[in-house]
Amino acid sequence: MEDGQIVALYWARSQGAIAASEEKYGALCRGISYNILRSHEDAEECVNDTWHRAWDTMPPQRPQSLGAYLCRIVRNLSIDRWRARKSLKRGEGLEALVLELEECVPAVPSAEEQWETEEIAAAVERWLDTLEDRDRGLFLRRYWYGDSVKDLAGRLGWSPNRLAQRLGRLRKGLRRALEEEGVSL
Amino acid sequence: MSRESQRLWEAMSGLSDEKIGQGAAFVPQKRTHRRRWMALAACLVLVLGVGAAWRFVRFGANAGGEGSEDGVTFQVYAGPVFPLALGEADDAITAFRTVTLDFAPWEPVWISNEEEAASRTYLTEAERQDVLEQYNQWFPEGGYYQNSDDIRVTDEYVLTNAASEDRTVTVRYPFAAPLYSLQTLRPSLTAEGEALETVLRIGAYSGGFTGVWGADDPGGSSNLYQADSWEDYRDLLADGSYLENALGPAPEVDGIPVIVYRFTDPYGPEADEDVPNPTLRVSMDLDYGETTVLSYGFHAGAFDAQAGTMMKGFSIPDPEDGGTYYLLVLGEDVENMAVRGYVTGGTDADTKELAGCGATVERYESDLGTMLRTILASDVSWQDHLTETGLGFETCYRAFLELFLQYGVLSDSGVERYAFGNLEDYTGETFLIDRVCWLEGTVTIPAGGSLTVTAEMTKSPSFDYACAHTENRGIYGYDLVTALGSQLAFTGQEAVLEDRGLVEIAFQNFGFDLEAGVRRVELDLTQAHYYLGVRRISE
Repeated sequence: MEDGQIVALYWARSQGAIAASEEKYGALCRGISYNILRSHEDAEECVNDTWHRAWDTMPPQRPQSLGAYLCRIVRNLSIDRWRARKSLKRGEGLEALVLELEECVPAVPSAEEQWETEEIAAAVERWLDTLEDRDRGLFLRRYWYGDSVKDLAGRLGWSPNRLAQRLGRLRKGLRRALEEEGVSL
Repeated sequence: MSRESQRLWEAMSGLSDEKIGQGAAFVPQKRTHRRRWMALAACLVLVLGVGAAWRFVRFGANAGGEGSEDGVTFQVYAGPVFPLALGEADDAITAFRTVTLDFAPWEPVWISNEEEAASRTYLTEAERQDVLEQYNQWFPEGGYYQNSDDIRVTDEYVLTNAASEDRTVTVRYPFAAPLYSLQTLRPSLTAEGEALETVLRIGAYSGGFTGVWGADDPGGSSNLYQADSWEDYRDLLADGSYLENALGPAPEVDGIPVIVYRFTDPYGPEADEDVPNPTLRVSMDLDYGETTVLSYGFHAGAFDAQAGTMMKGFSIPDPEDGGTYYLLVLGEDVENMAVRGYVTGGTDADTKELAGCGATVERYESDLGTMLRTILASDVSWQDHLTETGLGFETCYRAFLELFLQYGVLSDSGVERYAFGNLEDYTGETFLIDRVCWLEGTVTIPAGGSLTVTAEMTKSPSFDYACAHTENRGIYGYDLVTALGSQLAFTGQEAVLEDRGLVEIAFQNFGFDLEAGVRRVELDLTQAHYYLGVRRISE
């Protein structure tokens, strides 16, 4: 079913909207949530909450990309749940992903202006635009969707080490880009 | 992890639909066979080049003085190898210690695709076949190599008795570990090669608490601050009170009266588009100075000490899921308790009420100990933890109580992390927080003779997460203390490095020299702490 038709179902208050969302985007949303939470049970609840949130927000929202809309909801809900759970399992889920991004935190000591979240995202977006398609895809799959290095490497036919090196160079590139833009986090 | 990297991660949620869509549509493509070989050749050149440059940079950094005792810190600190201690000081007994750091676990282990698939015991056979096919695609050579960063530590003590009569003494061997890692990290003790019967003594939480926003939240206590240096352990063990507490009796709360409100059989309309999350709220009036409320099963809450009101709520489960929910009131009873249904779990003032909701509510009096035992015994995740750790209920209950009483809502030094009185906040963390534990046994050292006591264990490394500090990139740290917490009179200590050709030393203060073949060194007993940072020579 086309995204537009599913959005129309939400606007028509048809329960078929959730069934269609589940069918088309359920696996993707579950994957994002599980990559952050490392708990199938929690991921399942987040995905269910995503359908509720989508139901509560359409209307009035009419997203141009339903997939991105749902993915963003499930990512935010999963981050919220992770924060609430205050997971201590080191090296797992969101914590591991965020810790890799430590390397991208610019060394600008104390910028006078506090950048807003949207501006940070915009800076990352501009940097992504400078990348080749494959590098952009790799970065997004790893740091937006939370795919594992092993998984991604396997699908590329690369060794995990090779992919880790590639991601390391991308992180350094992002750091340089953020520093050049004077982004303070 | 830093606030900054977390912020960057969260800010990325704001990427455009276009970028998110590109990520979703991204399908990594394997190269053709010929191009793979070309890529491999290019990769070899690249790796050689990067390796040479990296090594040069590292040596340069080391030459700059990295590795000083105060300069080496890791984000994740595994804690040092501690020395054996006696139950009581005994002037007649001396000890010679030999610590061996063995990197045997660093040897790569081949995991075949069949083994990988077979390890997924929770899958059906058909699903396992899918996994196998996927791994055969990913690793066409039939498997992959897996490495461990743990090492094996053998900590041997030759105890000598100078007295003219046999000495039977209590020995205690300390180690740092959270309860959930006990199965892996717990040492095994032997005397003259025979297994020594030991009792496990478990210390309380070895860390502290810190704010969420680092320097911007200096007085905060919402996050755990786990011990991250040997000095933290030195301070923890310095005055002996930590060990004394571990050896002493368990805290007792059986005499504390509580008024119990028990909620069962919650019911309400099924969720639909108008009622996204049917929720029961229990509202009550109380004097916050006279009453403390603990809850179990409730996940929503609103607190207004000034107005003297409190609300606790939970989502109404499906009838077949049932569930038992508790409010334990300590001190003066609450007043004007009301149970109402709402369409969501939100606590906004305009959240709509929902008719047709309720639960069976019982009020009775009990004591805190009885109620905590009752609740924990029925808690599924608690039971899972007991199974996973292999520990008994009483051992874990004591650890739970110590955390609860030291930092919870009944404590004068309660922390923000546990400010809402939710008992579930303590149950999981009881198993996750770092501690110092001891294995305690009894040995007899013959008059004028010696006895060898040996502790063998797996030791996890200290490390930095994925290059957060570039100076520790790819480096794993292991350390030991020579005397901390021990009153043994040492005649000497030595350390042995079994590097097995797998590692190179990044920094140390032991005095090992692999090039010169110096793998056994005498330790200076006036030096409290020895550390070793290594990196893997090759994958």
